[in-house]
Amino acid sequence: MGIERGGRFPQNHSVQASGNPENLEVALKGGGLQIWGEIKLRADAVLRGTVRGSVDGAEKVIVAKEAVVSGTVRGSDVRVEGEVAGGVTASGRVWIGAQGKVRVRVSGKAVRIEPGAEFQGQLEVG
Amino acid sequence: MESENFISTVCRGCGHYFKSERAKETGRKKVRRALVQKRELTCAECGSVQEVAAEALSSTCLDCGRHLELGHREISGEFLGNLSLEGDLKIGPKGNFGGSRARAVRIVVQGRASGFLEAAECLRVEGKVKLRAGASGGKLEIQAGAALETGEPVQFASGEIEGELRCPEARFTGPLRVGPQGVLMAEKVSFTELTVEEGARVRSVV
Repeated sequence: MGIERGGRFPQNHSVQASGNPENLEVALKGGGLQIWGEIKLRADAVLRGTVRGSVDGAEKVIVAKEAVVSGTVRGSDVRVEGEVAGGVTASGRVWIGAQGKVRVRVSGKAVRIEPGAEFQGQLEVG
Repeated sequence: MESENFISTVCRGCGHYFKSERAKETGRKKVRRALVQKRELTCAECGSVQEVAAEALSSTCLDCGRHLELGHREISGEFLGNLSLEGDLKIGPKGNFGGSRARAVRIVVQGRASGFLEAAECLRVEGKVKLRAGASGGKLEIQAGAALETGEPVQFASGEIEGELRCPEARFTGPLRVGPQGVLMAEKVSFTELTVEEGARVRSVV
């Protein structure tokens, strides 16, 4: 995992990356913590926090229930349980859970939108 | 003195009426009528539900007086009138429904139809179908290799697309599934739940 740019981290907040290199969990701890800029992820990742920018994942990306991403989320497979305002692009599957919210665009090889999920925008599959 | 085969008689002295033992033995047995199988029927006009015999071919709505055609029909040639059936409608491969509206519980389309199709339970597309008007109903099923193209919106409770659907707007009040060979091209689509399997193609705005 690498954070290329940005980061206004007050002293009482932290960014934690835990797990083995093949399965990282990015936990942004502390109320109101935000990351500005693009996050590049080279392994499977779970996002828990607010990202004011895009997330560019090479592998599976999970946007957890409490996570908010204002930009685009890319990955091989993307699962959204939180909020993504800039759209989701996957080279594989996109899965939007019952509490997930996605706007602008969803693009992938296969898509599953659960009942209760919110999606508004362009849908491109295949 | 009565005949030995007498069934009943009246006493000449007191006028009492009585039956012979023989008559009691050969008394009429009650014929048990076979139970008539019934089914529920919903009037397409007023929506009232009533029971009709399962084998009935037509009935009249007890509430609104509408004539209800209960049988099935297959269109294998040109058909220009409107249709309203409480049974199934099949438009065969060489059939052409040229009326403005057809309503049935289940509709199978293999040929052509230029009018609006309303299938209360299911509309199944088994051929290359072009509809000048739209379609609505319970479930939309498009078989693999089949195609439905309309110039007007379609509205169904749920959808199962293994073939191709092209329309300006597709509204599903329930789940929509696009199979691996399915194609959905709509300017706008709505649903409560969506599953698009790998291999399918979808271009739309939600």
